Amino acid sequence: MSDMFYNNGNIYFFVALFMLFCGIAGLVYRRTLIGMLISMELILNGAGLNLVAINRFISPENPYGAAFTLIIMGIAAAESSLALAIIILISKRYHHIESGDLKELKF
Amino acid sequence: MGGLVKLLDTEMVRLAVGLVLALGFVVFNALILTWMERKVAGHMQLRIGPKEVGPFGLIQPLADATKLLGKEILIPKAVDKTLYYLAPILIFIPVIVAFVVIPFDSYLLVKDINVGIVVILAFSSFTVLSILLGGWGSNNKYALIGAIRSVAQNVAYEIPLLLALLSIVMMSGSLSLKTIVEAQKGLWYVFVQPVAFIIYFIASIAETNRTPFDLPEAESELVAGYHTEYSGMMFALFFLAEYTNMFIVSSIAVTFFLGGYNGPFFPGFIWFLAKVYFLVFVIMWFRWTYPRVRFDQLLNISWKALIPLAFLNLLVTGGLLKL
Amino acid sequence: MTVGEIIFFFTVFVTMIGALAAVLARSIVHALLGLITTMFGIAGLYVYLNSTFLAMMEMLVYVGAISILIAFAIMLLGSYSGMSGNLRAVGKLTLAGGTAVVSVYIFFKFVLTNMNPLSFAKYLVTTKDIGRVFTENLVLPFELISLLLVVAIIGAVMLAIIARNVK
Repeated sequence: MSDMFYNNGNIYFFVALFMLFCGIAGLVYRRTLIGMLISMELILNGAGLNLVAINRFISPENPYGAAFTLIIMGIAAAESSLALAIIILISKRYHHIESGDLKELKF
Repeated sequence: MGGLVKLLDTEMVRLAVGLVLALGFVVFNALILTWMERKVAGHMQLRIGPKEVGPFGLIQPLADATKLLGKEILIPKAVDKTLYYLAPILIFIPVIVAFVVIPFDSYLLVKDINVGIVVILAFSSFTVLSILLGGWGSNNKYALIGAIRSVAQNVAYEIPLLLALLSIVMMSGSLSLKTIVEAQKGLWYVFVQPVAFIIYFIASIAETNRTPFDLPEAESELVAGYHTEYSGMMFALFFLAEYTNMFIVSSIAVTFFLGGYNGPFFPGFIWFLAKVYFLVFVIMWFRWTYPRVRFDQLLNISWKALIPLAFLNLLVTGGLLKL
Repeated sequence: MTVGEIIFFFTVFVTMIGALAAVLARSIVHALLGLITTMFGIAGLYVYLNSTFLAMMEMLVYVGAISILIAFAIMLLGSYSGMSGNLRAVGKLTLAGGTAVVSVYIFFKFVLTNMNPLSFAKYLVTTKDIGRVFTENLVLPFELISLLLVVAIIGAVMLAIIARNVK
C-alpha cells in the first residue's frame, strides 16, 4: 500500500502550506473584520493539518499531533467567540466594521 | 496509476447498497409517519382523521405527495441563489450518514465505525447550518427570525444531549453503537440511568424542532418560520428531513437506552422497529398534549435545568463506576 | 487507481477550492460557505491520516460551532457587514500571482519526489490513545485549555453586558 498517493506525506504538507498562504492573503485582502476572522480560521486549520501529518509520517509512536490539534481547536473556539463579541461591540459604536476607519484608541 | 479502476471492493459494494436502501427507507418512513401523524392528531382531538382515500386513509400520504410534487415552485427574485438551493440539499446529509451507522440488527449494519456516536452528533450540526442558510437566503424577515431562533435553540440543546449520551458511553466503555447494544443483553440501560433517558428525550425533541419546542416553525406566529419561501418540492424536502430526523433520534434513544435489537422471540429488526415507532408515537403524543414553550422559557429550561442535571448525572455515574 | 485514491483527490480538490472561495468571494456569506467546505475537506484528510476521532471532532467543533457562530454574527450585523476587497485590480493580481507561483514551485520541487513513504500505518489513533496522552503526558495543556475556555466565556459575557449599556 506504500504506492498509494495518500501514503506519501508531501501532499499533506503542500495542502497545509496552501491554506497558510490563502489565510495570509485573505488577512491582507479582506477589508471587513469578519473576513479577517475567516482567514484566521484557515491559518489555524492549516497548522492543525501540518501537525497531524507530521505525527503520522515522521513520529507515529504517540498521538501527540492529534491531541495538540484538539487543543488548537479549543483555542480557535475561544478566540473566535471573543473576537465576534468585540466585533459586535465595534459595530454598535462605529456603525460599520470596515477596518480602515478604526483608528481611535479610546472606546 | 493507470489501468482499471478497481471498483469491486466488498466494502464499497456494501456501502453503495446500504446508501440506496437508506434512501428508499427515508421515503418509506416519511409515508408511514405522515399517515401516523394525521391519524394520531385526529384521535387525540376526538375526531377520526383522514378516512376517504383508501381504507383507514392509508393512501393519504400518496395523495399529499402528489399534491406537493405538482405545485409550482415559486422562487422569489431577490433570494441569494446559492444559499436558497443549498439549504434543502444540506439538510439530508446528517440523515443519510446516520443510517450508515445505526444497527438495525446484529448483521444489518452498513459499517461499524469505532467512533459511531460522534459521527452522528458531528453531522447533526449540519441541520442547524442548513436552517440558518435557508433562513438567510430567503431574504425574508420572518424566515430570518425563525432561523435565528432555531439556531439558538439547537445549540443550547446539543449540550445536554451530548452529556446524557456521554454517561452511557462511560458505562459501556466504547463509542461504537454496536458495542453499546451488545452490552445491553442483560439489562437495558434505561433502568440503570433513567435521568439520562429523560434528559436525552427532551433534548432530542428540541433538536428536531417538534412541539412543544417548535418556535422556529411556529405556525401561528411566523407564517412558517424558516421555510416560508419554499414551496412545492423544496418544502417537501424540508418536511421529509424533519420526519426522518424524528426517526433517527428515536433510533439513537432505542440503541442507547432501550436495548437496540435485543428481544426474545422475533428477529432483531422487528423489535428495533417496534421500539422506534413506539418512541415516535410518544413524540407525536407530546405534540398534542403540551402548549408551545416561550422562547426565554425554552432557553431557561436548557441552560438552567437540563445542563446542571446532566452534569450531576455524569458526576454520579463517574463516581459510581469507580467504586 | 483505486476508489480510495479518487476520493482522496476529490477531497484535496474540495479543500483547496474552499480555501480560495473563502479568500476571493465577494459576499461574506459565500466566504463562510467556502470556509465550511474547507473544513469538510480537512476532516476528510484527517480520516486519511488515520485519526477518525479527530475528523469527527473537527466537524463538531469547527462546522458545528464556530461556523454557526460566525454566521450568527453576520446575520446580527446585517447591513453593517460590508463587502470586501480594497486593493485595486493590479494589487489583487500581484497577490494571487505571487501565491500561485510560490505554491507551484513548492509543488514541483517537493511533492513529486518520493519522501520515505511509510508502509501501511501500524495503528489507528483511537479515542483511548488520545485520552491516555491527555492524562499521562499532556496534562498541563489539558487543564490550561479548560481555564482558557472559562476565561473566554466570562469575557464574552462581560462584553455582552457592556454592549447592552452602549446606546
